[in-house]
Amino acid sequence: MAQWNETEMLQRLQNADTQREAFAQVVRTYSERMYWVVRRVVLSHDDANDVLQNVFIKAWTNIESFKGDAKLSTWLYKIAVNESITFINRQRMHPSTSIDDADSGLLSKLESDEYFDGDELQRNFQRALLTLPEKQRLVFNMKYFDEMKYEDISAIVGTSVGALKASYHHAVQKIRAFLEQTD
Amino acid sequence: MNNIDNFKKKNPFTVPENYFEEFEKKLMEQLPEKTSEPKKQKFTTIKKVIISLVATAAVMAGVMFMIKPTTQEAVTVAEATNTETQEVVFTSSEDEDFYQFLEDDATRKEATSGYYVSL
Repeated sequence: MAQWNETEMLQRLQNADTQREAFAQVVRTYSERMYWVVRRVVLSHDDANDVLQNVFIKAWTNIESFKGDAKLSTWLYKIAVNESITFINRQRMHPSTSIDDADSGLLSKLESDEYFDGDELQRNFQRALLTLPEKQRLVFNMKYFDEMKYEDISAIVGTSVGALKASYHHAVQKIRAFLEQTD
Repeated sequence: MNNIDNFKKKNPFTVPENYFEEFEKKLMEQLPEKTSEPKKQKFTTIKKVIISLVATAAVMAGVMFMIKPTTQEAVTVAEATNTETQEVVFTSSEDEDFYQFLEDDATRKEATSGYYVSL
């Protein structure tokens, strides 16, 4: 991960002459990390690619409103989380789509995704994750896969550390129960 | 397999070859050019709308006082004008305000926790 001075980066992002080049550096540094946040929510690569583009286009469009009070990475995480949830909710709000249909839709997209090479156990694990409410799934992903600190997750999703610990604990229990049932 | 730690060991998700390198290039090509003028105009417009509404509310309140309403009527008018102003302010907020809110919210959380996202 590239090291940079946040203050200097902020100045470059706010200066019309250096803004574009600075933003390219932001994309280079954070695109992979943001991709995995999005991909683990939307599951298919094509959808993740679309959502990731939206994340950076929104960041670019609103870069003037970023004043550097929070870390740039935290701000980007929040946009990525927001865009991912919006994408899922938009699918669920489709008049002919029930919540179960939306989840099975995500799963069937995953199964036909050429960029998923998990075995049956991995597929079943993804089925278990889809039984979690969206926010709980997000928290689980950030803790389990990214091994983030609860304090950092709290800054992104706006939930207290205590509530996040409880949420993660319940998520693990639900996943275990699902896997035992389907074993 | 009930030990869920095992699922971390192999990432079943893959990406096309050179995806991230190409993503940066493609994204930068489609980013719109920045223009600073519309932003100023937008805020000026919002301010004008708010000022107009406040002025209208003040005139309405003045008229209501002149015709000496009952206490209950006065409260109703005050509530109505207040609600109207709030609605306009909220419907005027756009993405930019939302993402400023996200940053402010993140700042509050970081300040509370004393931690930052580790990179």
